[in-house]
Amino acid sequence: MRKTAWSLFIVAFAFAGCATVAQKPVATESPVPRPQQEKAQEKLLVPQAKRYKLKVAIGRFTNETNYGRSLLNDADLDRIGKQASDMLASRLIQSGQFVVLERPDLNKLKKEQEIIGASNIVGSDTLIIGSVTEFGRSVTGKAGFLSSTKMQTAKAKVDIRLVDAKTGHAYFSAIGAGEASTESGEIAGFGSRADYDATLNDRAIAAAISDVIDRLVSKLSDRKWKTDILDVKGGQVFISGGKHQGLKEGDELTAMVAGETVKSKQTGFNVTLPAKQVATLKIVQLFGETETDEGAVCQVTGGSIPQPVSQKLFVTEAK
Amino acid sequence: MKKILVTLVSLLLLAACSMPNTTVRTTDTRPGIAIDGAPDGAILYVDGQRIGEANKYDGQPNVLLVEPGTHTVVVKGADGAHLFDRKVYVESGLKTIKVH
Repeated sequence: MRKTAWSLFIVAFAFAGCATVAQKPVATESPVPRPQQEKAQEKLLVPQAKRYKLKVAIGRFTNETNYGRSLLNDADLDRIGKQASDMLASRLIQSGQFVVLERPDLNKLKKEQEIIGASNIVGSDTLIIGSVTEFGRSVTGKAGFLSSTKMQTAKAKVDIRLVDAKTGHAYFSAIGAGEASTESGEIAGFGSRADYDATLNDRAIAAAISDVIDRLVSKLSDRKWKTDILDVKGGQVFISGGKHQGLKEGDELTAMVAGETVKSKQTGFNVTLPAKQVATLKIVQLFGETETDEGAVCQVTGGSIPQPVSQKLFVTEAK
Repeated sequence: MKKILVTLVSLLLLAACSMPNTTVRTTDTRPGIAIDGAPDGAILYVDGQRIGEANKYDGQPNVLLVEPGTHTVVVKGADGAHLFDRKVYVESGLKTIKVH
């Protein structure tokens, strides 16, 4: 009896020293049904306060790591760069927080426009410039009593900066990191096995790009809302922007004339002198369906809009 | 006779074992979020929807499956105070959100 107890104790002690695989996260469905989740997410895209989305274009997004430079490169000697650039573009669109303009395949777009016979390529406010700056793989493991684990890990890091298209001012930067891993383990020859997993590379880059977009979405504050006057007809003022920018019927706005723009000798940047209020407006009707064709009809409630409508006129929220 | 029959059935069974199996399917790549460091009794809200106790989704091992895209994640304490309120973007894989 005593011998059996001792044996059991030794076996238990030996297995306590086993190298074991970490617990895998268990995906749990939300108690909220999926259609309701999707509706709630859509509702979030309509802003509560007035704002307008940044118009962004990817200026350059390349692979600056040594990884993947010798295999199946394209004419630009960059394979991962194009893949990562596509990932970045699709995630920027998916986030719903930006108006994304096509730039990497602009030549294809221009060819198509020649066939259609129409062209209206819109300029961006901000260029996104960046690269995959770190990429690497490692294999680590633990060994225990008659047991071992092996973990393959791919790690990636991406750096991006947002540059004002007019001035060249790089005003925001973000770094995203991601990793993907596969862990396998065996005890006394039994257990799981995993050979080289090539998908980990792409998954790590995808995770790093998602992380950088998360930083943009959470840290980049929306710009102060302002818009332009499209036309003035018979006491009605037509302005750009509608429900996608948080405008509602009955909202009160002010029409302003921008001050002179002077080049600062100190910074070299253009500085616009304070604007002057010329009229107060009230939104009576919204029109348009999408964020690119929407507008609002306003009536003048005080002051007057100087005619003809000058480039210096703009509309902002009433203080 | 019986022996032949048994052998035949065994061979048939073995033949079934060697058949190649090809499966093509679409996969669910919805991302998961885990809330790390929420105090006891804290409640998790995603896009204004009450999900439940935040500690239930701490990644040990449970994580909450969400739709890809931008979400507003709010964690409120048991007394209703806002402990965490942020827009997050998730696409696939797991995102761990640190509350403290």
